[in-house]
This record gives sequence, structure tokens and C-alpha cells, in this order.
Amino acid sequence: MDEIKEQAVKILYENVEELKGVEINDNTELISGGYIDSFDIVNVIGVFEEVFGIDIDLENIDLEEFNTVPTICGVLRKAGLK
Amino acid sequence: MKSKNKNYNTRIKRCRYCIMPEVKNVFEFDEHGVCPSCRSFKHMTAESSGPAFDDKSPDEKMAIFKRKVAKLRSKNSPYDCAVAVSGGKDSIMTLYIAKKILGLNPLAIFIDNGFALDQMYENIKNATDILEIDAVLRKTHSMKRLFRLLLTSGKNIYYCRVCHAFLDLLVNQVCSQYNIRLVLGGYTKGQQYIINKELFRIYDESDRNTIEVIKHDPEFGEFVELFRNQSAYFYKNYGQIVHMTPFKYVEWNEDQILDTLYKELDFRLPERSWPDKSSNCTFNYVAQLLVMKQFGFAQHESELSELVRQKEMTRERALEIIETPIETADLENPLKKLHLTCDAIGITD
Repeated sequence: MDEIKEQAVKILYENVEELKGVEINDNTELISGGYIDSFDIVNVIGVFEEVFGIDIDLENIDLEEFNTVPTICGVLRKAGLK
Repeated sequence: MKSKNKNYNTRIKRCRYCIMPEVKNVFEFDEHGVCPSCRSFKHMTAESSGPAFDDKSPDEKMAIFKRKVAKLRSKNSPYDCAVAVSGGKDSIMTLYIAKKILGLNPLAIFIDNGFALDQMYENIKNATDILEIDAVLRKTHSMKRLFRLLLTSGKNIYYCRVCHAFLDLLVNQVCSQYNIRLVLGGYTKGQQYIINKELFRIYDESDRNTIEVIKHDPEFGEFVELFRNQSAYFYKNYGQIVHMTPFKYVEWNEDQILDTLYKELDFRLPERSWPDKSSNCTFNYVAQLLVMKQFGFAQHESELSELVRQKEMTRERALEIIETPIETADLENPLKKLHLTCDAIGITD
């Protein structure tokens, strides 16, 4: 698991109560699995921005892009994270 | 001369598993009469890669809910949280859960969009009196002016979408005044619109058209940003306020909810509201008929279908609800408040 992915998973565990005790892998469906909804996504975006020091432009992403860890990493990279 | 008893909510072809209607070139059924949402739901269920939140036990879900609320409840406010109430069963049940099950001191917030039913006020009064909960009741006439502006444009608009955006804005404004950072709302699983992809094209078209109409309007021009991207707007302006629904964690059962509310909170369903057993505003008749004509379906069909798929409601009950009649007087009454007629907006052609 690369560093961004590892940190993203850590943030999800720390900030999404629904994921406590769930093994998160690349295929875990966070939205369609019912773990996070649009409200949770908006909350967790704030944490990603703070931890990674980036600005996630909500106008140019689909909230659906938060469905799996790899797609979340895609959002973070799009926001300038290297 | 229109018949007062004519039912404009006529029967149409619906998916054999849920109640979604077919919309040519946009939302088409397969050869077995199954809609795309049911097909992808079955696919997801069959090929899901792992466990889902709903696999957790009711106790586990409740424990998670309580932990989240404990973390998010307001610290510098006289209130632990706000509950956005409409006077309908789901939001009044949310108020009950906040006070009686979670032991919180919530502030009830009710926004009348200008079309509220008397029973909505009555239910909120009874519930807040019995539960001893403070309430903010606010009535706005802006929505009427906005609806008139949009209706006379003749563009395809989903009026519930427009209204919800403004209601959320007003609720967030009240929360900011009281330093409240947690808002509970009575959204059912069917209202988790992020998973109801069939609604996205409706939202996109409606938002585009709303912007087109309001962008040069002196009263509503400032809200273009809200309709450009609602999530972004609320994140930017009210990012510190968190919204949650108890029905992600607490089982939603229409009969049980009504039973509790009848017995404990002196709750009454309005004599007439669309759809059956709802407490929606009087403009909902117009909004629903327009949405069927302009887009084929909207939130009600999508919500009820999701409840059927999740086995929280039978298809028969969902059909009964969605086929609630819409009669001429139901349309004329709210339009009269806007000084408009059915003919003027071509609603009953």
C-alpha cells in the first residue's frame, strides 16, 4: 500500500465511526456499502484538506469518487497531492 | 371547464420489482420489465466485494450512532443539536429520537416555505410541547416569489430540489446563530440521493435552468453559486455544520413510527397531502405533476423504490402511495397563492 493510500485509510478509520472494525481494502465500497453518505463525505473532505494541506475543489469532483480508497486517492492527487 | 374530480396522476408502466416508471431513451426497462436501478442493485448484491453497513446488528448501529452524536454535539451552544422538522412523521420521529432515545437537548427548526399545512404547525406544536423542546419557526415568502419566477419561465425545473436547497440554507443560518454544529434530519434510506444515480440528470438540468432564470434577478441572483454546486456551497459557507439522519442507524418502519407518534406526541396526519400518509406542503401537488411531465419521475419514486429494494416497504404499499390522486383543486389552491392558474403554466394539458 503506498503512503497516500495508507494515510487515507487511517483518516477514514479515525473519522468514520461506521468503519470501525471493518477491513478496508481496495474493493471496499464505502458509499454503496452504506458506510458513508454524502454528509460523511463532506466532513471527511475537511480532514483530508487539513492533513494533506490541499484544497479539494468540490465543484469539479463527483461525490461518488469517494466510493473506494483508490478513487479517493485519485481525488487527492487531482487536488495536487504528490 | 375542468372537472374538479379529474385525477391527473394516471397509471403508468412501472418496473416489475420497484415502482420506477420507464422514461424513453433515459431510463429504459429490459425485456423482463426491470429498471436499470433494480438491475444494478441485484448486480451489486450478488457481486458485492465485502460486508455492508447494514450487516451490522441493530445494537452495533445504535452504538455507532451514539458515538457519532457524542463527538459532534455542540459544545458552545445552549442546544446539543438542531432537528430540522417539517411536521411530518419522519422529522417528528427524529425529534423524539433526539430527546427520548439520545437524551439530547435539541432545538427544533421549522421553515414554512409559504405552502405549509396547518397540521404541520399543529404536529410541531404538540411534539415540542410534550417533549419540552425549544423551537424556531420561520416563515418565508421568498419561495413563492421564486416559484412564480421559475414557473413563468416555462423551463424544466424540479421544484422540490429548489425548495430543499433554500430550506437547508435557512436551517444552516439558524444553526450558525446558535452555534449549533449538528443537525438531525428525518431522511430515510431511500433519500440517500448519492446512491440514486437516476436522479442526477434531473438535478443537473433543473439546476442549470434555475441558474439561467435567476442569474439576472435582483432578489435571487446572489444564489447562483448555491445551484452551481450545492455540496460545494454548503461546504464553503457552512462546513462546520454536520447533517445526519437517525434512520441510517435506527430501523425505519412506517407503522411503528406512526404508532409511537399517535400514542406519545398527539400526532395527526393531514386530511389531504401528496402522497398518502405524508405531510408535504400544498405545492407538492404541482411539483410532482410537473416533474412527471418534465422528467418522468423524481425523488418520491426513487425513495419509495429504494425502500422496496431494501425491503423496508412492500411494492404494493409503495404503489398505493405513488398512485395517490392529484386532482384539479389540489393544483389550483397552491397556484392561487402565486396568482397563477393551471392553464397559465400548461400543467393540465
